[in-house]
Amino acid sequence: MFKNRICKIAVVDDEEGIRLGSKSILEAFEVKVDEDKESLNFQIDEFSDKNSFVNNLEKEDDPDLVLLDCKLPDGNGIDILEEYLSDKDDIIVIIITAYATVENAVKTTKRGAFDFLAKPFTPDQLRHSVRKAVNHLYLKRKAAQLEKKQKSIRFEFLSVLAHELKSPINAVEGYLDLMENEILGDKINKYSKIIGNCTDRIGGMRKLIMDLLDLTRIESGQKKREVTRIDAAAILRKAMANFKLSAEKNKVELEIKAPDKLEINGDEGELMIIYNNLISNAIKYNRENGRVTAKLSKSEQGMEIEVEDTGIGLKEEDQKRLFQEFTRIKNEKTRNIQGSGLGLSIVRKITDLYQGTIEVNSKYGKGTVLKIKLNSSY
Amino acid sequence: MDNKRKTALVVDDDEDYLFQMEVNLQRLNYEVKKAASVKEATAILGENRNLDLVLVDLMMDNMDDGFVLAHKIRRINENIPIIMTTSVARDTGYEFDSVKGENREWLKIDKILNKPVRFEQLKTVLATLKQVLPGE
Repeated sequence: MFKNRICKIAVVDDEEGIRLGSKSILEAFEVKVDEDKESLNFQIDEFSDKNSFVNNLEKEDDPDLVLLDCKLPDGNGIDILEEYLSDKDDIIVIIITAYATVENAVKTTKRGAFDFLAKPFTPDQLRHSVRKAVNHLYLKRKAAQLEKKQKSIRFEFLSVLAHELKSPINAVEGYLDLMENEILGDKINKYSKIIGNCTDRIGGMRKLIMDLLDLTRIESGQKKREVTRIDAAAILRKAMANFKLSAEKNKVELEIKAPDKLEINGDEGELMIIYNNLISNAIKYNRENGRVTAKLSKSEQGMEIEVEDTGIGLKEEDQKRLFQEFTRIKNEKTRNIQGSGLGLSIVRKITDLYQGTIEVNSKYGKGTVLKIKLNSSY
Repeated sequence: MDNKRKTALVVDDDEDYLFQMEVNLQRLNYEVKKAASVKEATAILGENRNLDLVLVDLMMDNMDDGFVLAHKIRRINENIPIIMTTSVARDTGYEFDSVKGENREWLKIDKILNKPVRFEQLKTVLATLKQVLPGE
């Protein structure tokens, strides 16, 4: 943020006394930034007129801070501010002047000066003003850094998202091309498999879009939470019932181990999203004639849901990546399974809302247990 | 004219795309082998050193799987024509119509095609890669 923890200051004043005084005060000065974690020292460059300062500005690295006299022999501090410093966001300027009028203060601040120091000033006034300016600059630079990082994360996210959205479009377009070329003859019923595949890919894409909306709503806090007294057991039975068909299709048996009633404080929609994702994964990544067991129990803090499958399981290195966005564990066994890669990211975000925890227990080739504890007494 | 049926290998992690390319290449008189990963492709290449054509997806499990595989293929047989397919040309900057000279040497591929690949487009491209055009 500051090269070698040195803050470069340019003192631009035609009075030698001011330059030398400022230099000796500031070279012995130290400022703490970042909640006192980092300390900065100062390197002072002196300039006695406009020309030498402006020439230097064009040649050397920019200073971090400029102590700028309003009245110079060959020009005016306010003009320098306007002409040479107004487009340099990364330089902070303190105006020094003997004519400490309100008018001057307003004029210079309007042109981007951070602070205003009236001559003659005491060492303490100088230190105070510099400390304030440096802290301001530090925070500004830190914010810019953070913004840059967020932008790059966002770009990465969007690139992967674009790829995930393009794949199904390409697949459907490819099928349309086959149909256009009447690859299987001119009878529409010959194309039912192709049409089915298109429907599947479009369904996958819709799921991705829905998941993405869920994720961004939760992340941005836009999703209204309706926390009431809800029956987690009844909701679980409802969720499991919704998966009856898909379980039959995958030849997987569903089993619920839950009390008749388990009341917690929570949002029904959020709980449903958690159940749906866990159950759907347990069915998708299962084996033929496998089983999905959902166990619900009361805990000290609230509730505990455990969904166990007899499926393909996870390798140890894959378990760590499970909750990252767009993580889909790709191998021979999972290649043909559709998924948005966002489900477990969403589950983790909701679990966080309940100050809950997630545990993954998996054996490759044997099956996976996902255990989520929700704190409903908050 | 060589009337022997030619063999193509298609490498892609999208099952639907593999199916589509199989149908299209069969129409162009190719026998088609399919691989859903670099690993599967390597196994097939080990048993079939004289393939007539390889179509390989750029981005599979890793961002650059396609390039890695292309290098492997060239080590096995310098003369197999390789077509790389991708849906991320614009995002990655790997956007050029034909791969010539230095690029071919470096990338080890003969052509890059943007997905989705249409039948007519495939036919045209294969015709320009003369040596791979099957006997008619």
